[in-house]
This record gives sequence, structure tokens and C-alpha cells, in this order.
Amino acid sequence: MDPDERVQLATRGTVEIIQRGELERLLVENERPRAYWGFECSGMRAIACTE
Amino acid sequence: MMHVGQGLVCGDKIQDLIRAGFQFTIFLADYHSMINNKYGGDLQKIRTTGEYFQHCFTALGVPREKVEYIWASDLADSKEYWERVLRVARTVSTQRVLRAIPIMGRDMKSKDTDAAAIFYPCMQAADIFEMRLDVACAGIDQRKAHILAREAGERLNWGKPVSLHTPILMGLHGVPDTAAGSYDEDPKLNRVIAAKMSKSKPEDNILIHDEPEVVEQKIGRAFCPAGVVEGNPILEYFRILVFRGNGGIQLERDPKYGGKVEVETYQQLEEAFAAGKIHPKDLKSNISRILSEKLAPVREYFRKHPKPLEEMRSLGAG
Repeated sequence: MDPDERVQLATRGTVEIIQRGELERLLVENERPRAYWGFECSGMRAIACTE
Repeated sequence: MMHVGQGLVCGDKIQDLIRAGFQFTIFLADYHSMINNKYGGDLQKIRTTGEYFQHCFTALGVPREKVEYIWASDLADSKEYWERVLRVARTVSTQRVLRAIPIMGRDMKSKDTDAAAIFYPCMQAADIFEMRLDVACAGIDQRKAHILAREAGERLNWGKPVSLHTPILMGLHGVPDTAAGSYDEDPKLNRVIAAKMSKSKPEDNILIHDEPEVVEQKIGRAFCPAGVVEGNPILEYFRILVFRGNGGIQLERDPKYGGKVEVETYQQLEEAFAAGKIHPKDLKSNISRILSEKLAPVREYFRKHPKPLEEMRSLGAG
């Protein structure tokens, strides 16, 4: 997958990227970058996420 | 229980990033949940919920072998971690940390903030550096934590993590007028977060476990006046959950009312709805069908693995 395709996949459906240019550079330079999503473990909603 | 907002928005985004070549970590923030008084700070119940989340993400199409799960309390089991927390804390003022506590779903003007809350944003920043992450993903309500992390990273020469923010899905009854509080300096974002924080009723959100009839019932009662785009949760569900750059959809309708119609983009759908060319009933029946199809693997998974869900139900509200 070329970097442009990877950027498209990574950014679709997002409302904000800080900063897009940094993400584009990352995906050119790094084949296997590291990402995370953190979740509070609660029954009603995870605050570190939508709802 | 997990809502479609968390389940589908996060689940789909995580799958996108894995496909884009990312090594992905799902961080189960047990300590953070304790600080935030989830289940009254009962770590055992918090961890049961974390275990359940792992099953949810597996069911939502994030295979266990493609993702790493890390518990906050395991990450925190080192001197180096706590040194990072302290180093982050040295870069920010107390006031600044307090302005970031809306990330915990708390009003930043609250007068009775406990001291534990001060740790939370500093830990959230330290987590990112301790796991050596390039990208931090979260709902837009977490932007203050990420900005704090980026500023701290720059001052400490630890690098600036890219932040990737997803939208917050509104409840099925739209944004209530009663939603109030101070969560962000930007009035528009403040309203979105306030709506999320306002006490939501179970029927206001679709759970990833809901049977098709339940989805239909909940959607049936949702706010969706003919021609109204602003604050319309059903249109928003189409925009956020359905049109994700995978091409168009087929909208099914009774032949009496125009029959099936191909819709290529969200914009097309919105314009047709605003112009009165699509009836709210059709919008609702289609989103019910699409969501129920998307959630079919989740229902199937938990039919085979009922235990984590039963354990969750026995915990009560958290």
C-alpha cells in the first residue's frame, strides 16, 4: 500500500488530525508506526472514546 | 454496555489503522477509571469491564492477534513510568491541568475537584510516551489531553504524538437543550461534549448487542423531522457510520414511494432529505437495517461467548 493510500485510510471519518503533515511524513518514513486508543473501563461509556 | 458510537466508530477506525500498517495498542485504562470513580473506584469491576471490551473489539472485527492490549496498571508498574508522569507534570501549571479535566467528563469550572484528578491528564500524556506511540487516537473530547501531551513532548524532547480525533455520535434524540456545562472554550465543541455528558437514557443510544427489533424500536423513536438536517441524529449516523469512503449505498423503499435508489455520497443523501425527496421513515428503516447488519457479527459472537456479557450485566451501572 502506498503512503497516500495509508493516509487516506488513517484519516477517513476523522474530525481533526493534529497535524496532517506530520501524519503524512510518518507514513512515508515508517512502515510500522505505533498507535493507540485508550478506554476507560466503565459500563456506560469510555471517556477516552466517543460515548 | 458498549454503544454503537464506541463500538463502530472506534472499531472501524482501529481496523483502518491496522490495515494502514500500524501496530495498534488498545489501552485498558483501569487506573484512570479508578481515578474517575467508575464503579465507585472498584478495580475488580473495572477490570471485568476491560475484559468485556476485549471481547467487544474482537466481535467488532479487530482480531486479538492483530492488536496488543495493555492495562494501565501494568504500564504503571515501573519506576520509569512514574518518572515520566512527574516530568510531564513539571511542564504544566495546575491551572492548565484543571482546564484539561473535561477529558474525564468533568466540568472544568467545578469547585470540588479531588486531587487524584490532577494525575489523570499527566498520566494520559505519560502513557503515550511510555508506550512510544507515534499516533494517539480518541474522540474529539480528548483533544485537550493530546495537546497537553504534544506540548510536554516538545519541551521534554520526547517528540510530538500525532493526534487523530473521531467525531462524537449524538444521542438518538439529538442534542438536548438542557445540555449545559463548561467543557471547552470552543462553543460548538462545548455543546457536543455537554450533550455527551448529559445523563443519557438507555433508549437514547443503540447498544452493540441490540437485536434488530430493538434497533428498529429505538431508531423509530429518534429525532428526525422531515427535511431537517441540523441536529438530526439519523443523518449523522449515515454520515459517520455508513459513508466511510467505501462508495455508495442502496436505499430501499416501497415501490409506492419511489422504490430502491442508489446514493453515492453522504452529500447526496443529505440534499435529497433536505429537499423532501426522502421520507424520515425510509431514512429510519434503512439505518436500522444497515446497523443491524453491521452488528450481526457482534450478536453472533456473544451468543457463542455469553459469559463476558453476563458478567457485565451483573455489575450494574458504572
